[in-house]
Amino acid sequence: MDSKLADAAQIAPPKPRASAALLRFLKAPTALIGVIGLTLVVGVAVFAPILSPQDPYDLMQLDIMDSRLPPGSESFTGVPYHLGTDGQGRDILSGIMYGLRTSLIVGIVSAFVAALIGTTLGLLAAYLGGRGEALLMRLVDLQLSFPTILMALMVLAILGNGVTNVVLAIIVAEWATYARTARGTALVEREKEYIEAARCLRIPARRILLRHMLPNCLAPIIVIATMQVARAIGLEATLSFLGLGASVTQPSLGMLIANGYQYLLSGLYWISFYPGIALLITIVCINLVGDRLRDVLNPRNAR
Amino acid sequence: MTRRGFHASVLALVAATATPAFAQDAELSIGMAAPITSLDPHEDSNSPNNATSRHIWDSLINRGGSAENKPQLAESWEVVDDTHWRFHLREGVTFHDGSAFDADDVVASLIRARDKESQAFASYTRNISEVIAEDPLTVVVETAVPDPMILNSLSRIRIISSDYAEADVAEFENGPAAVGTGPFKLVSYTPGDRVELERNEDYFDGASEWSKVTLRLVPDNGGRLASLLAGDLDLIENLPAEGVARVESSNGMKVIRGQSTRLVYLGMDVSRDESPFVTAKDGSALGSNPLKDARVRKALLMAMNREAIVDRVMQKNGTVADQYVAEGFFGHSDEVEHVAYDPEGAKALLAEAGYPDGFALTIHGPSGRYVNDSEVVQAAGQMLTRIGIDTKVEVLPWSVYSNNYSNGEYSLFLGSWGVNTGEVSNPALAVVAGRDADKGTGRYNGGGIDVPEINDLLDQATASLDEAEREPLLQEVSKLTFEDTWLLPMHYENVVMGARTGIEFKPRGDKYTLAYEVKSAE
Repeated sequence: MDSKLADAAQIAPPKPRASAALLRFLKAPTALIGVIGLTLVVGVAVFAPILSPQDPYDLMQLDIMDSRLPPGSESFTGVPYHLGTDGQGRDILSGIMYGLRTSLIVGIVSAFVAALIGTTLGLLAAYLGGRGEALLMRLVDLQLSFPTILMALMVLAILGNGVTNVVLAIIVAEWATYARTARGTALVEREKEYIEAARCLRIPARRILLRHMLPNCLAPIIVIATMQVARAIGLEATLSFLGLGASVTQPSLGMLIANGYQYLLSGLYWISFYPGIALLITIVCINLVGDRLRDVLNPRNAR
Repeated sequence: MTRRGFHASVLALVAATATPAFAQDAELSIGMAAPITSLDPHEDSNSPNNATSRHIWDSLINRGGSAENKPQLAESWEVVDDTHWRFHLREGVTFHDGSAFDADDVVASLIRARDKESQAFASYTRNISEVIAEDPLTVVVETAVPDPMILNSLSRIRIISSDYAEADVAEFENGPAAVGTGPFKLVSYTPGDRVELERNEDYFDGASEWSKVTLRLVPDNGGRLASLLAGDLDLIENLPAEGVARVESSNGMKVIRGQSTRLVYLGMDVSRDESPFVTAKDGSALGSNPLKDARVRKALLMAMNREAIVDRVMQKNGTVADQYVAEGFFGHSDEVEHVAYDPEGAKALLAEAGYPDGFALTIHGPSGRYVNDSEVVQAAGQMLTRIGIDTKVEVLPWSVYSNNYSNGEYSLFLGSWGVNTGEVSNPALAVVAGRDADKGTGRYNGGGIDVPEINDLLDQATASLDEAEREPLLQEVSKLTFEDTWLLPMHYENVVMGARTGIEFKPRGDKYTLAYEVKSAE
């Protein structure tokens, strides 16, 4: 039999139409706020070189004599520091814009790669079963029993500092979550009739996995991935705060917060406060979107 | 009035007027910034331990706050010959348990410190070959080679009672062996928390004005500051820079500042023909090492706005440095001139040396070892960028950094040396003298500096016992080092302490906080 026919013959649940899903998604005001906020944040990060008053990574543009100026001050050359400066004379506003880039890149890349690895392994485990599955899932159990931060710290201790290594550390720390979810969903799907039908039709395993099982497992993975972007950003901030993240001259949001932490007692609040707010907004927006996505993609909530 | 109180007040009248309130019951709590590792005075040599042991024990020599050698248990001394020193001991000194102090205690203490398994004091005792008690109040110390630093070394070894020469660490920490001749008696020691002391009424130099002293071990910056503000502590070490404004604005609180002998400098790779972290601006090999050129090194120093670093980064908790030690210390040279901040002049010098368009380099530094270390490195990076040197800044954890920099793996790096002896041979031998494992020199010479004239001068200076002869030699070492800019001197770290207004204390160069030297202003 023609395999195209076989695909058409599958008895998968009906897919919701994309436009309808989008409409349903935007019905909740929280989701709307999330989307608008997220668009803004991403826009600022993408256009940081155009929008920011200063290139905070260019040592030439920093002046130690401008350090720790309060919000609203002006530099020697008349550049305004809307949100003040940090201990190196770095404009906080520019620092936030560039810091968002680092944070978002780290968050998205690490969540995406971890999802890719985790989902693949989870699906394989579910489909193949047997010893491979047991081994993989015990590994997942073992890893999930460690606190994420500890896992990331261990990886960074071995690899050393740097943004790339932070991404790697987050991937290592987070893939297990995807693997477990993917396997769980796939196990349910595996028992369904359409898979059985596909097997009976002798469709190759690869094809069953990619074309039949994966699409039907995707909904929870997407939801988790969204949330994990926020988690990864938070984790990166934590690692940078501990001094294990980005380079000192190219600070991410977490490092900006860390730089100002020591001044909190003496009233120089802006060095930590504004980057903290930026981090908060980013993570809240992503979580709002993720929450709504979960509601929309959950078949139980479909009316 | 009790007999004892009467006794004390009579003594008070007799005693020098410098300690007016000394017979009163006054308590003092000091917040120490670093924990002590042992109460056995010979077990482990580090600043917090050695400062704490000075409360309970004395040494032959009293090391003053400006690193001068003053009599303590030795009343006077003389050089017999190049390898023999005779010390005349103070009469009538007793230990806290009432036993008398004599030459046997000195012999027992010096030998115990020398032969102790931990070898913590080896750098001070390695030259001591024999200690002979000539009579109960005279001791002769024999050194294996002429050792001009022997007085400094002896000032670091506490004299314990010979009764406890065989005592182990536990006996010192539980109390029985913790019996010295010092200004305070041990009441109790809680590891990681506090050392409680009470006044030794019979101290030979006059009893302290504090009847009870508590040394609280509070390594956490915030906690120490909070305890001071709450009134739990009277005096704290290492007031964090960001807490200075807070203390200054608090009623009844003040900041005490003093200069320490810790020099912070930038070292440069001056030995390799191509340095690993110096390239042309496009990242290609430069084909030469510009740091070998004295003009380039001078240009780097002219690029440094050190006043701005002290003012903005150190928040005034430092003093601009021009050489190993500040004025007044042994070996300071008046001929070393201050190199002023002059970015234009620096660019001109670079051009003259053949680098009109500058080059690129990476500056390395530690984080969390010295005061504001990573901030200092970043600021230096800014300043170098301004004279046309594309600078990358890399900051590493101290555990990784400490080995790398001393082994010469970097091109431009932050270094620091606490000049504990208060004289030039100590930093010069470690940081600038040519690396020589047999002689033990240049262990921290991360730039590979090897200048024959400086090495020769240091050889002469370390072999001579005559201070008048040593001084011009060491002054010449200072001059040669900084004339050719072998190091870029940045600043001396200041001692910054917080105290309530009733407390007077002059910070010491070695950063020891000694309750006996704390006075009340009331």
